Amino acid sequence: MDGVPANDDDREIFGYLDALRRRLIEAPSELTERRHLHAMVAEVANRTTRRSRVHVVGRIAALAFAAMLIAFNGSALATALPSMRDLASGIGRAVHVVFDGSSDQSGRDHGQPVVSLPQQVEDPVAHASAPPAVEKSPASAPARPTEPKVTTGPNDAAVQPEPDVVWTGESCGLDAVTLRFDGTGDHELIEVEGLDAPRIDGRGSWYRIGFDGGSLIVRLGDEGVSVQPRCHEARATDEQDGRRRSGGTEDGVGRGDDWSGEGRDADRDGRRWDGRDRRTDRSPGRQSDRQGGNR
Amino acid sequence: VVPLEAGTSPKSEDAAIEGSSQTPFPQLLAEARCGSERAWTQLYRSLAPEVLGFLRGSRVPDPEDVLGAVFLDVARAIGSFDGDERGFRAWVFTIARSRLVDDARRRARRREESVPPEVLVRGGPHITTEHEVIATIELDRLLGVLDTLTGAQREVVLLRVFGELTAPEVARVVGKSIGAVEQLYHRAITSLRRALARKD
Repeated sequence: MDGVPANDDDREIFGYLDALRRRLIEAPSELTERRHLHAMVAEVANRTTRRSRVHVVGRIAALAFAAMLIAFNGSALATALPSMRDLASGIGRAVHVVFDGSSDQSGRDHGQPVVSLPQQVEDPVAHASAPPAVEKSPASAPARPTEPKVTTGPNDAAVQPEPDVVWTGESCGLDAVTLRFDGTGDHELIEVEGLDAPRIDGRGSWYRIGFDGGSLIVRLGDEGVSVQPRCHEARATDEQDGRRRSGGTEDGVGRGDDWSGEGRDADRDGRRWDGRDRRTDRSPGRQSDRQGGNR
Repeated sequence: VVPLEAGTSPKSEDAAIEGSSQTPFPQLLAEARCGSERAWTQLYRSLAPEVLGFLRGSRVPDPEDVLGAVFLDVARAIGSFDGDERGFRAWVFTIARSRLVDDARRRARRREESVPPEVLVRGGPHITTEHEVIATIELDRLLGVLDTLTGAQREVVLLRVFGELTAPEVARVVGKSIGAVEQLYHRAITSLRRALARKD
């Protein structure tokens, strides 16, 4: 930051902002950087592939159009042939580009382009149902107080592994745990005990495990797995849209909105559908709780 | 105090994207659009620490998550970007600000708080070193002073300090006039001065 402090006050502010900058600006850990870069490069490659597919479709359409023209006008054949050769060779090239990227180096067909990285990481785009995910949690980087992590050790697949992590959720009302994988292991969540049917959502290296309290034992796969448990505060929400209903209290008493639909069967000039003046209707349940409107 | 005159930048334009002396920015941009990992690494390393600082200063609970989302957006929209290095920096911070707002809205809908696993694992205590404790206290003190600002003032100061953006650039990022941004900045400095005096 440039700028020459003019007086003591300015010097103090300058020092404060400088300290803030020094304390907060910090490069992401190496593994976080690698994961972010992988996601970015994969995203660009996906977009390129999609564009290539559109390109192929366009060329096929052009070819069909050319064929149609030839069918209608045989004399155009002589001039059309070179163009058709170009189109055909173009299609060959485009198809080559598309299908070259259809499998990754491990042989799995993800329909995604190959992305070369120092270490092959599972493609987060390959899993369709997904909460928003950003990959992180380095296993080898030193944990910072603001970014707590537990790093698990390697497990021998032939031997039943000891539980890697045991969480008890009573202390904070834990009802979900987020697991993230740093990309160096095999990314397998081996086992979750304590749940009859673990609710596991996620894609690639990011999992959220629903959890009803009590103890949760998680057995994780290969080395290099980081976990980041989180407390998810339970709130009264609308099941449909995930938002709290506006107005009133949670038990439904005294709420501001009339959800029943009663009291809304009056027309705009204060007359009910049956012709009675709604302002004289004092029967319970026949008046809305909206002041000054429907009463 | 960091000057906020319109059109001036505290950072040399040549150094706006680190390493751009090796690769000219237009070429770097073209390579990034083609998916060059080298180009993305260079762009990421030049901006990620400052974007992360901006997010931390804004008290984002999980700043590295949001940082990843920011750069994923950058990768998605890089084809539509048109501008120079300074413009790119401002553009990235515009995306960072948008993701910040999205994150705040999402957290308002679904409250979520990261808990140290040491606290959760078998209910064990969270053991920290003396250095960690001191660092945490220092950070809390610095951010506590920043908490005296209004949301808009804080945003302008952080964009100025971490993004090293000029007043017109900050104005474009936050969608306000240059005059409004300058006023917010100077009021923020006054508030910070008062807060620091109180702390003393």
